Amino acid sequence: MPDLAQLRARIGALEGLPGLGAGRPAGAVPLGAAAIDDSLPWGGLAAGGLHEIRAEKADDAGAALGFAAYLLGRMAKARRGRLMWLTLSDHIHAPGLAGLGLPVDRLLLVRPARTADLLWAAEESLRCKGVAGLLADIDGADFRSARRLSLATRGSGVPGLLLNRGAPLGAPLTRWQVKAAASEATIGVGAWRWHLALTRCRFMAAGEEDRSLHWLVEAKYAKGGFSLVALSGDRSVGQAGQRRQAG
Amino acid sequence: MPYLATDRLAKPDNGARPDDSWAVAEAGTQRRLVAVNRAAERAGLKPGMSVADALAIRPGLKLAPHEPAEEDALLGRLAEWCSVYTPFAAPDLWREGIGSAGLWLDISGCDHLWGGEEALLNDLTGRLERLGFIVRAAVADTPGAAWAWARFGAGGVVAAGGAREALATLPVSALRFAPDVTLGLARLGLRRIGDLYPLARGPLAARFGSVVGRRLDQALGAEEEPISPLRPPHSLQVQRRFVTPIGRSEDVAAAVRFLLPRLMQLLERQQLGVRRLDLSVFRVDSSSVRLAVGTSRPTRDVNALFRLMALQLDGLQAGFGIESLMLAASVAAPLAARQQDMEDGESAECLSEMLDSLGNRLGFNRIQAFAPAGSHLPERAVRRLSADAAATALIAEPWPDQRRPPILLSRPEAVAVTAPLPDAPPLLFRWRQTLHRVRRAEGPERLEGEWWRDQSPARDYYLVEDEDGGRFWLYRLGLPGEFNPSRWFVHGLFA
Repeated sequence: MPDLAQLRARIGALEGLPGLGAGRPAGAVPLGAAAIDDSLPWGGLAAGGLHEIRAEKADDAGAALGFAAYLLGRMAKARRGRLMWLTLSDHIHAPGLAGLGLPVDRLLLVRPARTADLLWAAEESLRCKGVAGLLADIDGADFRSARRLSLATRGSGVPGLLLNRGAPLGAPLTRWQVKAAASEATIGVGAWRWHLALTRCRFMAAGEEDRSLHWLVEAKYAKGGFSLVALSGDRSVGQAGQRRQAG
Repeated sequence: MPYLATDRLAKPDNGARPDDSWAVAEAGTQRRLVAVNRAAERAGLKPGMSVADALAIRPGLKLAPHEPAEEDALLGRLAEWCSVYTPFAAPDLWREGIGSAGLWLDISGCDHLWGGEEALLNDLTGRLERLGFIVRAAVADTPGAAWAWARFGAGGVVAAGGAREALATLPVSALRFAPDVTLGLARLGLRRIGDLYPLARGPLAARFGSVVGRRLDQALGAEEEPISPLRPPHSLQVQRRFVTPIGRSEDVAAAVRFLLPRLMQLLERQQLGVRRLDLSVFRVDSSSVRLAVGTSRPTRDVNALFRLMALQLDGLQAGFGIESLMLAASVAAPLAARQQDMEDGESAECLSEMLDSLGNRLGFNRIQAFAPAGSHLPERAVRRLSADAAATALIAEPWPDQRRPPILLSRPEAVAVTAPLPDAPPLLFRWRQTLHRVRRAEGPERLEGEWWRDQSPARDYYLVEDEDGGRFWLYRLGLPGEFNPSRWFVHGLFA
């Protein structure tokens, strides 16, 4: 097992993938929920990589966008620079993003007219070290474009989120499937709850790359801003810690 | 350019033979010739003749419709290309009488670059002739005299101070009069320009208005007649001409690389930075293109500007070759020695470069930032700031505390609902063909437009959650019971 882990780490290093094995790399962006961060090989979302977010059903589009906006807000917290949001549509509502912990004053919205322009703009943005994080709202991407984005983010260390409505992509390091969950409150509507499924994560322990991990999370307002709390999940922190040492 | 209308069509690359007769006729029932080429002229065809007559005289005549707009456009392109010779070049759109089409060039101070007026003129006519245009050209002290000498005189250079003598024998129509003025002068026996010299101005002005005296003065240099150039010339420009035309994009890029530092030196002396950079590309076939890049803030960064320009060079068609490039800072703004910025130097620089490259390809209006606006209505609660404003760090302004959806539909969508009471949230609603059972709801929050802006009904907003956890922002239009049945809309989706 250690041999295999070493081999993986070496392959990762050769591929120029974000640091593995030697503890938490400085570039990782923690999600803020310990249970989830501890399950990820990087202790959060790897900075020099792409992360795909998908809605489980069309009805979960709001939840998926909300989770993506939350992650972009976490990138803003961990890194300096501007946030980029690239989309073909024009329906994002800044007050709602602010309510998810996203610092809107650092956000730039880019609205290209065509998908090809959007992918090009995403690549340009990901190359720029002055970008804290990027979110591209896409309807699938061809293999080559996704690969280019992935290379751009590796080169600069700028983390990229792909809110993808199209076919799943191969290039991202992680893939998250989001589903809205009913809230809990004695009166009115409670804090946002989502079912998160990590359906792909590179550099998990052997045999676990294709196994999904599930969490039910709640987005909470707390002191110092907005945070995510894992209410239940199918892994305990201890197990995840062991696995991180291994892989 | 007396035969521009037909030369335009009878170009060798259209498969035309030089001895073909060409004519341009206007559309419509009258069908009269508007212009003929030299071969047709020799056969006896004249503008104004009917098409039927012309075909009887010259059965092989090639006819084309009259397209004044196309001719003007061609003339405009030629004038643009002529800025190789001088920054003051303009098409002559004078449309009366013969020899209508022409180009104005103010070559004051430019001729020495070409080895004198004669040499410049030869170069210009030679090039235009190679393109299949028949050209008559003249250089004189005034635009009026040059106009007359090119069309009615022998052409060529009129020596300085020789205009009065040269024009004396030319017909009065060489002074650019309308046909009725020419006719009126002819009735008085005034056929030559020289006939006008001794006359008193008063009676002429009484009869024909000031035009006769003015044109005469303009031709002889007593009155200024400026040529209005296509574009005002830039003092902030540099040019490079090539001995052999270039075509490869690497060569063009290299030339831009050569010109950029020189332009930056000009700017630096004046403490300016580029906001907009124009590259004019002059091809050997007398066509030209202009590529422009904009920047979000004034800059003198050669590498950044080169990268922006290189993006534009990709689509450049060299055609038969490029003989000259001109780089101009068409918009410049003061640029202090050092820039202050809230972000770190290197990353801020790369950010502004990246935004410039995005803006140039996508349009700067497609990059926006958000700031709160003081309106209660959700569709007016956000101000969109331009890329310019967005390029500098914003001051964080607080957003309202109420829960707002991250997705706001650009147009609220009407839904059918089941609500127990007029002032209660719905139990059921159908949106986009799906039935949603409401499990939880919060509200109402009454939002109204500002009274001074509009009189639209108030809206009662509810945050509702369905049994699957889908969260929606619904509103009922009007006060409870104002509309019967009540009208409901989905306006946003919560996370």
